[in-house]
Amino acid sequence: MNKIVRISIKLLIICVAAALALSVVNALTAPEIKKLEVEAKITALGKLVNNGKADPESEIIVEGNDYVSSYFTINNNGEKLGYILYLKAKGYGGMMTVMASYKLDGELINAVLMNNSETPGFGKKAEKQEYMEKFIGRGSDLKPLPLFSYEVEEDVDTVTGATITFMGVSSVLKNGSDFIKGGLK
Amino acid sequence: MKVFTKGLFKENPVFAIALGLCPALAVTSMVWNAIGMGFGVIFVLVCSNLMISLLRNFIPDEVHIPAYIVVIASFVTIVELLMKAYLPSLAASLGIFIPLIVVNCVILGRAEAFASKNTPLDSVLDGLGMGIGFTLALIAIALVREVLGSGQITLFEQGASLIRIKLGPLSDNPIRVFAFPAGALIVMGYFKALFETISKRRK
Repeated sequence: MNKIVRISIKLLIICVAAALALSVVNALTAPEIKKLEVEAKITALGKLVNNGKADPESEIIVEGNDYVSSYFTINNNGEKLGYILYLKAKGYGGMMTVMASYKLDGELINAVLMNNSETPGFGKKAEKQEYMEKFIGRGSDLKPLPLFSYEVEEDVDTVTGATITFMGVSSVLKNGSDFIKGGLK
Repeated sequence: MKVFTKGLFKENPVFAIALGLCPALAVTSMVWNAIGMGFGVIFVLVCSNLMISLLRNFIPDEVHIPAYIVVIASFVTIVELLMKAYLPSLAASLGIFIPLIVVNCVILGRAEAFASKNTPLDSVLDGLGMGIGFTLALIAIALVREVLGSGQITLFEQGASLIRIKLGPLSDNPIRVFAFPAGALIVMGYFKALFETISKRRK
């Protein structure tokens, strides 16, 4: 019994020391990482809008939705043109964040893959703008978003060996489109 | 000095012992990725070897593997946080392979085989030698793959800062297979054969 307690205490000491060291490094790096995330968000907002403007300060948080965490409104001289959604998707390497802009009828204007842990050389290719081309202009009732790679036109290059990433991105973009069609619910 | 130099060639972790092959094959599509991963591994190897050597009389034998993993995982998390804060492009490029340094056999292998039985100074030298040997192996594979597969050499990439050498006609018509995982295996095979030949001749 004494031996088990002694071993447990020693392991606990190692874990506490590790946690302390990590908390110090986290405290030092967290502000810098947060700053980079904000910069990336502002850059993405600029990329996602080709007509009108989305104010980075006007983020509206969505509670209780499995796919949409927040959204911004795209305006042009007071006229509402669409929305930019902050979406949560499930990829091969865990959770991914996707920012996507939509017209009022749910048609995708553009999308950017933000935070992700996808495999370099495979799923990570979804970070490139060309990857999103296959979804752009789709999402309205007449032209739905492709959920599976075989629904993509033949002339569009899909990424071999990254099916889970494709499914994660396509399903979350569809959920985002449905969120707008459903009156932001 | 032998403790340091053995990791460079005689016991090179990639070419001689064939450890840590997963990142060696996965991140070597660009020289800059190989340099980044190599320095990450050097940091984790040196720090974990030092810490495990210092704690070798404190860590109970019955739980030495969990204790080593806690120490290694902590240093890997430190590397990951530092990369995300100060080298975000490299962190994005290496992706999941940074946290996977935790399960890199080279690190746990050196902790178990060397650091747990030797003095802190020797353990640091062993970690440094093995880390540099691992990095050189990664750079060698990445250099061949990037030159043949992309027709370029990327020495640094961070935001708008980019040091990339384009290799004329090869960058317009690269041999694409070398940029893919199959190319990594082919290059690795040739390096291993070269390494074995040199080792045999030395004997």
